[in-house]
Amino acid sequence: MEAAMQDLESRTLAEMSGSIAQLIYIASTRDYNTGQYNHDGLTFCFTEEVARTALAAHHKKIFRELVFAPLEDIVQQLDRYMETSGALRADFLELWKKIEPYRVTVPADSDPIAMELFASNVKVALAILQTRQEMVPHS
Amino acid sequence: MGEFLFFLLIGLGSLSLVLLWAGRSAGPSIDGRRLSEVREAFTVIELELPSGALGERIFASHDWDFISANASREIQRTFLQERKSLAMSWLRQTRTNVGRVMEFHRKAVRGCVRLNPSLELRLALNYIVFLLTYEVLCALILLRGPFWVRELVRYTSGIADQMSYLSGHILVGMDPTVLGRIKSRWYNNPVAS
Repeated sequence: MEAAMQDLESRTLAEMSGSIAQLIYIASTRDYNTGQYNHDGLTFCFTEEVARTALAAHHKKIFRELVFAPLEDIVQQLDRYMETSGALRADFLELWKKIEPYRVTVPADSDPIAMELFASNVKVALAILQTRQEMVPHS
Repeated sequence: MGEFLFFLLIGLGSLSLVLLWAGRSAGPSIDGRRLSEVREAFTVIELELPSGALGERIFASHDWDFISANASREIQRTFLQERKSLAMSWLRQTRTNVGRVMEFHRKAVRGCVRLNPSLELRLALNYIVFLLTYEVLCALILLRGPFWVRELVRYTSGIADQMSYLSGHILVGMDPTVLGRIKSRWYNNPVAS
């Protein structure tokens, strides 16, 4: 399992900019209906079971890091993620405020209060980024 | 008004004395390794206390320092409202779970384990202090917000840990037959008396 986690970290996640990008990536490997993680590359190198366990463990680790990260870091990371997402900033902020996609990125067995803390921090970070965005044309 | 102040002062004075006394006679110091064993034993019977680290995170003031310097009044208001609600949720969850620990101790453990009067006394005292500080904390959070009560939160969380330790340490290393009996009694009748 350790080897699978290291592989995931050094090959796939290392290319991503920050924990928010990593959280979204790992959450996207999880089946909406079963909650099982799937990663072809990892399954090919290890076994399906090991790949799933490594993804689940990493998911928890990254989520925990984000829950305990200062709000200032969340704002910076979200800004960086938005920058690298390829979407227009205004569209990104509008969509994230409207449908709150970050709520489905949390590990299934997380503490409900930790989930709420994370969602609240992202919500406030989005509001700060939106204010900055609105100030740009005037400056 | 004068009468109200008089009783308020007496109340606060008594509370301070009880806190001071409880702090000094809180019993054996908690061994970190032993506490995690106790937490593990409680997890098996679904009696987890909310994470103290999460409490620390919610009540930490660095986020407020950042927000008050970098965000509009409206965002500040939203942030304070959300953090206040989270703080109350964490506190209520701690209160509920401490109550369950006491309930567990009263029902499941008492029937199977020989009582230790000094432990029972300490547990009862800690529970009273916990309930008092819980009420004070709720009032302070509602009045002033969550960022000015960190020390009291740490203290309350410490009492919760102490209670969990006092009640749960008898589970660690217990004869598996007795432990099995305690578990089944708890699972079969966790709420009703």
